[in-house]
Amino acid sequence: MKLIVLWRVLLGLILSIGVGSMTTVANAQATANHPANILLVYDSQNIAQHGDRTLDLVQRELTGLNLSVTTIRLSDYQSGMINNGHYQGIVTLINWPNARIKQRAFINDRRHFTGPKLHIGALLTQDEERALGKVQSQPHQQFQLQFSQQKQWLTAQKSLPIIEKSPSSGTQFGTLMPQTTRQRNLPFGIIRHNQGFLPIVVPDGVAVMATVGLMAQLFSSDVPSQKPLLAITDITPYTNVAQLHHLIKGLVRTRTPFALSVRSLDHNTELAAFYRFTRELQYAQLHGGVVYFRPPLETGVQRLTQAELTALFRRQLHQLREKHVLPIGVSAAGFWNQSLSRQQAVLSRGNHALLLPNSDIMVNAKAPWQSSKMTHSRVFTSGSVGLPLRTIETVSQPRRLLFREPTVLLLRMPTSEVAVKSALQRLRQLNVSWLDPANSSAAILHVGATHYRYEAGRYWINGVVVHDLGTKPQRHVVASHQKESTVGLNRVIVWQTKALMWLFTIIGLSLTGLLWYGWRIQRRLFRKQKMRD
Amino acid sequence: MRRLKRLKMISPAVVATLGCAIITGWLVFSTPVHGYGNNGSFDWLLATNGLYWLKPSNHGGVTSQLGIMKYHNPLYLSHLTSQDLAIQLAIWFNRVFYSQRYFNLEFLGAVYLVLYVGSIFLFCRGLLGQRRRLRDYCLAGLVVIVLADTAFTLYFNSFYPEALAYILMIAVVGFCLYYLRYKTGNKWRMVFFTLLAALLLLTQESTSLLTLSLILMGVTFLTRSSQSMTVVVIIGLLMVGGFSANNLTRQNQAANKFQALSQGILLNQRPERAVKTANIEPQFSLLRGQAYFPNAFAASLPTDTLIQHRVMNQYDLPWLVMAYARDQQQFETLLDASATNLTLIKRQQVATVASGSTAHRQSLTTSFMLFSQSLATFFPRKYTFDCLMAGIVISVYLIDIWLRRRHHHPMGRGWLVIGLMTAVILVPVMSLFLYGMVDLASHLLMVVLSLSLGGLVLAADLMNHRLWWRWDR
Repeated sequence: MKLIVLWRVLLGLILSIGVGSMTTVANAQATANHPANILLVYDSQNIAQHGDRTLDLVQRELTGLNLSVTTIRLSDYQSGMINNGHYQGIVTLINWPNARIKQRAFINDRRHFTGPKLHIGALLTQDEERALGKVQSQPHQQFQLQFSQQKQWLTAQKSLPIIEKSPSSGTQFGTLMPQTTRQRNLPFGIIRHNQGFLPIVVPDGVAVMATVGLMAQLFSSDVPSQKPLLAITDITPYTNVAQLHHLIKGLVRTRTPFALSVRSLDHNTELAAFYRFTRELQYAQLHGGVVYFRPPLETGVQRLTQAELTALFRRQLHQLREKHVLPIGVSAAGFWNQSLSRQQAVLSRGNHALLLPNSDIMVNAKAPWQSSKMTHSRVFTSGSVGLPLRTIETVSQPRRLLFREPTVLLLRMPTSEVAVKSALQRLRQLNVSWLDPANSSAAILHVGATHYRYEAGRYWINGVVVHDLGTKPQRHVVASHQKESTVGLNRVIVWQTKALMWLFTIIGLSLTGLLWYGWRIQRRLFRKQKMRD
Repeated sequence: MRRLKRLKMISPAVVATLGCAIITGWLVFSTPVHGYGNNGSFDWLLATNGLYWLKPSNHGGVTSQLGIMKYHNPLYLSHLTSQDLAIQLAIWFNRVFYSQRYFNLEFLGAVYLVLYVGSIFLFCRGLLGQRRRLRDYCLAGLVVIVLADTAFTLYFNSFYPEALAYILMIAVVGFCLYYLRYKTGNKWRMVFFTLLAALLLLTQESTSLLTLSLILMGVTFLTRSSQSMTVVVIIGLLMVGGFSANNLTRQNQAANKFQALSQGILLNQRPERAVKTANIEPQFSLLRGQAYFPNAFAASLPTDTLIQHRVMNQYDLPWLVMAYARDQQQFETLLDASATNLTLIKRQQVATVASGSTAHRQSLTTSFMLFSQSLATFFPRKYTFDCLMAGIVISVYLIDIWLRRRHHHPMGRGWLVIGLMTAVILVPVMSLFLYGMVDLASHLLMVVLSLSLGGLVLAADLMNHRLWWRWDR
């Protein structure tokens, strides 16, 4: 008995500490009402070498640090753009060094800009080299990156521009260790005064940590470090429910908190299959999981307008709510945050967003995000950066992973029973200490007249706590035969149809009768003739 | 009375042909251009014929000005259908008389118009002959009302293959009638019929469903031919039909297969029952109603590897047929639904007037639609009714054939009408198996045309008391 009391006291203590820390986080974010505006200038998307992925990653990392990003291509830059005091920082991204795309107006404006500046990639100008140090190109080889006691081999194996001499007054972010012991260790990211440099941006766990650490310090972001969240992506209503159940059960058994990134439907929601699917999501919600709503795949030649997209979003969320599935935020590919109509229709509805990597595009295809020259990203209370799980599998101590920005590690929904087992095995081996979404700040989703809220493991709708989260939703049973509405002329036609059917049946029957009768007469005649012969 | 006699200077066949020509000619050449708009299927046809949109194609109005490709086009005539021949002919005329760079849609309309007037004349001469009684003029009027209906002829100013199929169907039936009336055919008559039938089969994949009907119609000619010739023609038509049914891009084949499931057997209150019998996971019953090329958004694309493996590779045509056999109620419901669509000849949801004209974007031509409108309003919407009617007509003509053979009368129009009625019974079923409930306006056009032509022939026979051995009494 005493033990139980002791446990209760302990539990109370822990809870109060948790709530206390949460309120401080909320306060910190409330003060950052006007996020710093960063101008991101890139030379080329360089789709042939997947440079668009790099651009997307930089945009998402900055968004994760609560920085508002304005993206523009170097050739679209107009003189004087950065001098009007609108931007608190500049990022130059060189995606295609071989093309040597340059613009004098931008270089001039950047030199006169006094705020923090970050250069990613090669092609530093003379004034940048003067401030940061001499850049030398390291030949093609693989490096091991070390950052805050974590080590990882970088997957990219190309020649890197490196600032050799670490300047005395600068800060170093990450150390590159070559394969041979003969070579010296090299610095990865560098900050000197208000200028930063990164040789490369890659979606490798440690590299992301170093990159974001550098960005956070350079642009003085106050987002606290946190553990990563696990998210299962590519879940659709077509997903095998039994496999999904096994996966969720496995996660629950190992006490792993998780999120599900779920696409839904706006039709066929009355079918038993959709009901089974939402029951599974309900099960996940009750066992430490949260659901992120993922907007549908855009396809075909037409694109939904903002109004249509809003209506679709509202419809799908309503369908889920009817089945007691309450998403806490939206998960969408990075480009959704770059296009205004998608942002306003879907992403602006919530304060928690899970930004997934863009999917690949073909070299000659027009990317969906190339809608306007200049794009502005939206800032969220928690704009999580999605990284594939495999990017941290080669990290030396996955257990002690701590990211500077909200990070979500993505695991694709396995497509077979064996794959589910191996995925669970992988997670067990990684042994990461995961973030519990119940411990992060309140997630709010505002759709139409409905106000969803999720905080500390509890759900609210329009300010009322949801108690019946686990109850079976009533299935809307459809009558097996919907009767055609019979009004006015239609009724006449229905009647006429029936009358004609009868008429034709009678004619058909009498014709058959006549035919038989005629045949008999004919036969009798024939017989008589025969007899006469 | 004298005036009436003067009127009879012109034969009914010429009257009907002139009537059709004037009405359709006005439709084809009036401004703004009248035709059916693009529903998305023109783009591939334009590319394979060396044409392109001058402006980005709008999925609304009719576009009359197109560009002619100047340089090498790897897709040029890569999927040859008989419609391409007509389009190429139109482009050739366009190059000679109009422009090397721009294509005017009215040239295609003109090519179709000439072919149409020719086949109408053949049909009328076959149906009405040279006699000039009042009833022949009445029949001529009926022919104009039915065959010059704008719902049919609006196809001429568009790239839908239905235009050529419509003309060729009239030509095939007209040729049979003409032969039966005048018996002028020499040994080439069979070859000519086969050629016309093959061209009809090759217009698009859904006209290949008429193969059986055309073979039955061909019996008209077979009686006096040698047996080896008969076998050659039947096998030839079967092969052409089979080729035409598969003369599709791989994508379109996959689309047809997918939609036969999602927009066919799954269109049900309990789609899981159907899916269970194949090795498809029950969650995929949510694919109900999904198109292979979704319009703007989808939860998952049918081209996705998961759906390809778990759905597309799990079933085939025999399974679909068996699934319908198991769920006969569903089968009937869908057939009735397609019977409802059968009478809506006019293509819905596409504009029929040139975009940019003062008319409303979706404004629809309604002139000269007496036949199609009344069909849509008054024709019973039950597949069983269609079958019953076709069955009765078939039995009437079977008796006719039997009596004629018994009394050694010359061949009547029996096999022709039986062929047409077989199409009325079989094509809706086959189209449901092969394409599901997709694009019924296109797949069932030949059914409603067979019904109309069969009706005209029946009306002519009844008016002239030609049925059941009263022909030359």
